[in-house]
Amino acid sequence: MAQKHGATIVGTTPYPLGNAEFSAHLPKIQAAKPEAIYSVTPGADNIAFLKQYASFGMKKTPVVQPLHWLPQLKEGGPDIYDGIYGGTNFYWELADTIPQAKRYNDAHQKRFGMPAGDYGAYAYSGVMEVARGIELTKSTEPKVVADALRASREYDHYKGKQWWRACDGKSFQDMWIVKGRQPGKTRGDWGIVEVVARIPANEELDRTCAEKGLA
Amino acid sequence: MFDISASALAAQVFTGLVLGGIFVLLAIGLSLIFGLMTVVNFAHGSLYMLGAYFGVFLLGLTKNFWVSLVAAPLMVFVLGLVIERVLVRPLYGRSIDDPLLLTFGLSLVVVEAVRIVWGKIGLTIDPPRALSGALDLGFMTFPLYRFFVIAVTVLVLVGLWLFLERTNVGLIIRAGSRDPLMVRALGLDLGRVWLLVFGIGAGLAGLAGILAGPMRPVYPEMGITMVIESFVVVVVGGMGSLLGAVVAGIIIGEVVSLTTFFAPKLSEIMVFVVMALVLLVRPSGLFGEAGLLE
Repeated sequence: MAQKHGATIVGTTPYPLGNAEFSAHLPKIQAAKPEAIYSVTPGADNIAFLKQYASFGMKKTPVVQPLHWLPQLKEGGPDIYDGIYGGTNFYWELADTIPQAKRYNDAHQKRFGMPAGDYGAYAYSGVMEVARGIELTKSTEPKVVADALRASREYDHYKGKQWWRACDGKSFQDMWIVKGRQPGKTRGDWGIVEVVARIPANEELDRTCAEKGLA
Repeated sequence: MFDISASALAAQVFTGLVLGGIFVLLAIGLSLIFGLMTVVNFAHGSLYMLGAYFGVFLLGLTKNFWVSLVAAPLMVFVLGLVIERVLVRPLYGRSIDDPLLLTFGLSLVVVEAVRIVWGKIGLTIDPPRALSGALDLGFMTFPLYRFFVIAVTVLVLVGLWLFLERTNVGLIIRAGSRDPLMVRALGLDLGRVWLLVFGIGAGLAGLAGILAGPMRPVYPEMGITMVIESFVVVVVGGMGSLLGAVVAGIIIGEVVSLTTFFAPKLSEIMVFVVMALVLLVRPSGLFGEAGLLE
């Protein structure tokens, strides 16, 4: 995958999930002299990793992460996320440009007093999609509902058009690349990052069902 | 995959040494309470976590890292006094399992209480400005803050050693851990001594917690992995031996660091392999007194 997009992996260093100590990995990463670090360190591990990465004077090597998560951005704060890149399925500032996102985020803000997060958006979309299937079929029979959704593959509940791929039931949807704002330039308590690019939904970015052994 | 250069290896060995120092700091409080009172304090991780949370609270209040660094461990010290007086004291003279189970239960209660008070989303502590930089050592850049943590660890160890070896209270504590009956026969109040030891052990856990804050995330479950790390250090070093905790901390730090360098997937398991090997050869740990657990 990395090669396909023109990158070369100069080294990897796996760590045990749930670990708060990365100091033993950092000199090893420095020694490999990477141009960028791709870190898969979810949850609290991510805060630990970024704190220690910064403290080892490595900030000049950019960090790219597969998934950012809103509560985690809030938890780490602007100092930690300054300049860090991440992917996300939803970010509340999309409300500025996408009407569906504004409708969803406004409702969330009104109900919970804070902007909508990413996993919550997945759950919202999932529930709305099941509801759409039930409305289409006037049935609550799982198989009937699922078949109807497969036949009517496109939907749009909170951020634009998405669709189901028939062969594996995967939802294809736009994703966004976000980047940590400089401390002092954040937007309120929750505006830690800014959107830098939209990655339109595209089946070619994923493995095909044949490659996954499903077709 | 990685060229093994001398400087890369030097960086790895050095990192392991400092990491070992941090492990020592995490384990001292646990070692102290066990060695002198034979109480296996499973709430050690929770007291560590409370040290960090009290630190966050005090930082918000005072905006001063140094004041918080002194006050947060003191708060945990006082809490330790209360825990000993109210919960642990009635269990003296019973089997070693009873205080172990009690402190384990207590640790669950503390984690849940912190979730209620501070929420499930973690918090952060920033290192003070003066310590937030990194130092260029030639073969690597290394965080200034970690040197500070090691300096504090050395200070704590020297202080504890002087207290136990050179003061009258220290003499009574050591005598009480050898032969409590005899000490009582001499008319000394061991209850007060144990109260103090438990408080100090708790305070040291709290100190480790606030010191860990700028390096690690502060969240309610942060003590869970830490208590495992501490137990490994205490068991390898020998239950109750401060010297053992220091030697074991450094050994474990190097094991983690070098395994991470050569075979990262084995880094977690190697720690336990080393522990098992030590226990096979020396069942009471490297510097432990035999018979403490019987």
